[in-house]
Amino acid sequence: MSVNVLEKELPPQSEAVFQEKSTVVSVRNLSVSFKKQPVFNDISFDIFQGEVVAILGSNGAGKSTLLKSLVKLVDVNQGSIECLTHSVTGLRNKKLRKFRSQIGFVFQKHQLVPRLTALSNVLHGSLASSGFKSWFHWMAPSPQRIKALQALDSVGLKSKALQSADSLSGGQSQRVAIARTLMQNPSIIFADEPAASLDPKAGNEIMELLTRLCRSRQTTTLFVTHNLEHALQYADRVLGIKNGELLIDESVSALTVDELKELF
Amino acid sequence: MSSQLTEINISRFAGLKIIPALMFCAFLLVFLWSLNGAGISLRELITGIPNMGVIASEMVPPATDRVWPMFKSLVTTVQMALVGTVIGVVLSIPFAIFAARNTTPSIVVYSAARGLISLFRTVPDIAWALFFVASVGLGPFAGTLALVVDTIGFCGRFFAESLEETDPGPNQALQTLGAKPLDRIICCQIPMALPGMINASLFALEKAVRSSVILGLVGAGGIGVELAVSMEMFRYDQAMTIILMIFVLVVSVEQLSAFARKSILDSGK
Ligand SMILES: Nc1ncnc2c1ncn2[C@@H]1O[C@H](COP(=O)(O)OP(=O)(O)OP(=O)(O)O)[C@@H](O)[C@H]1O
Ligand SMILES: [Mg+2]
Repeated sequence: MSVNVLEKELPPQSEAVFQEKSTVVSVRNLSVSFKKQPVFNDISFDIFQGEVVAILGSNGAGKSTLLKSLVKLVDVNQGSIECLTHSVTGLRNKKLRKFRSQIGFVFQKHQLVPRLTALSNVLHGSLASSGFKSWFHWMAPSPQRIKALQALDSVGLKSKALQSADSLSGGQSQRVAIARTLMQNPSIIFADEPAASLDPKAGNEIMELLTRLCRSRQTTTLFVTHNLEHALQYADRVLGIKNGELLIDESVSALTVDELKELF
Repeated sequence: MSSQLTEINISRFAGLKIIPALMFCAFLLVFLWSLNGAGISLRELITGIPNMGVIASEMVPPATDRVWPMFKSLVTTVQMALVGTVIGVVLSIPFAIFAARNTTPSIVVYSAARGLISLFRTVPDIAWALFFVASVGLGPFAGTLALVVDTIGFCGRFFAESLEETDPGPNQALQTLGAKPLDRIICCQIPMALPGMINASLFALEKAVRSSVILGLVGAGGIGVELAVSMEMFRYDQAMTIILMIFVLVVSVEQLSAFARKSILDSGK
C-alpha cells in the first residue's frame, strides 16, 4: 500500500525521463530469410516514443518484410524484437492479437472490405477489443459509432460515411484506411508505402495527413517510402537498407538527398 | 508464280498436337463401344413410334377432373422446395466455412467437411429420397430432408469456392489489427463472397423445384406423387395436365430467380 503511494508521487520526474528516451521498438541482430535466401542479416535499431521514422531502400531490399516481421506477419530466423514491452517473436494467439490491436498498419493498397460502407470499415478498427459490436455500423453501440464518425471526420470524409468502400477513389480509400487505424487508438503506426498507389498530389496529402495526425497524438510512426522528399520532409529519422544491411540510421537534419541516393 | 506459292506453304499437319489427337481417337473408340451398351435400336424406335402416337393422342385434351388436388400437390412441391432450400442454404454456411481453405480452423475439419459435402453431392437426390422415405416414411418430410441434403452438397461446395476466391488483402489487414478469425469471417470474408453465395442459392432453389418433382415419384410428397399415380393408371390426359403445371412452375421460378439475381446483385454494387 505504502509502495503504491510512493509510486504515485514519483511520476513528474519519471515522466520527464520517459519522454526523453523511452524505447517503443527495439530490434536486435534481426535476420530474416525465405527458403534459405537471406533478405537481411543482423539488423539492429531502436525507435523512440513519438518519433516519425522513414525506411528507405530499393525494390526487394526487404522493407516490407521488416515491417511485417515487427507484427509477426513473417517469422524471423534470428534476433529479437521488443515492441511495446512485448517480445514479439514469442507471441501467439490471444496475446498476439492483443499486441497487434495496439499497432496500426497502413498498407500500400488500402485493403478495405469492398461491399461494406466506409463507416463499417472504420469501425473494424475496434474489432479486437469489441468483437461483434464492430461488425457493421448499424449494429454498433452509439458511442462507438460516434467514435468511428469522428475518425472519418478527422480524415475529412464524414460526408462519405455511408458510401460503399468500392465506390471511393484510391486517395479516399487510403484515408478511410487511416481512419480505421485511428479507431484502434494505436500506440505505433506502421505504414508500408501508404502513398505509392496514389497520384503525386493525393500522395502528398496522405503523407501530410498521416504525419500530422500521428504527431498531434504523439503516435510513434514508421513509414516505408520510395519518395526521398517525403522521407526528408515528414520524418525525424531515416533508416536505409541496402544489400540486407542497415546502411543509414541518421536524423534527417544530418542527411542530404545525395546521401539517400547512395541507397539505390 | 506457282513456285512462289509452294515456297510459303506450310504442311497442314504441322500444327497437329499428338496428345490431343490420341485422346480424340480414344474417345471415339469408347463412344463406339458405348453405342453397343446404350441399347440403341432403330427397329425398336420404329415399332415404338405408333405407341408414342397413341400416348400422345391420349394426352390431349389434358384432363381437368383432378385439377384442384393436383394444384394442392403442386403447392406442396413449392413449399418443399422452398423450405428444403432455405434450411439447406443456412446449413451450408457453416459447412462452407469449414470447407474453405482460408476460413477452416484446421486441416482435419477441412477434410471432414469436404468429404461430407462430396458425399451429399455425389449420392443422387433420388437416392437420398429413397433413404429418407425408408427412415421417416412416405410424404413431403422425406422429400424436404432429401432437398436439404442435396442443397448442402451443392451450396456447401459453391459457398466454399466463393470464400476461397475472395481477395486475401482485407482479411490480412483485419488480422493485422488483431481481429479474431470468426469476426473476420463475418465482417470481411462473407461480405466479399456474398454475390457468389446469392447466385448459388438461387440456382439451388431452381434445382430444388426441379428435383422436388422427381422426388414425388418415389413417394416423397408433392406433385410427383400425382404424376406417378396417373401414369400407373394410364391416365395420360391427367399426366399431361401435371406436366403442363410443372412446366409453368419451373419456368416461373427460373424467371423469378433471374429477376431476383439481377436486382440483388445490381443493388449491392
Ligand atoms: N512470402 C515470401 N516468400 C518468399 N520470398 C519473399 C516473400 N516475401 C518477400 N520475399 C522476398 O524477400 C525480398 C524482400 O521483399 P520485400 O517485399 O520485403 O521488399 P521491399 O523492400 O518491400 O520491396 P518493394 O520496394 O518492391 O516493396 C524479395 O527478394 C522478395 O522476393
Ligand atoms: Mg514493399
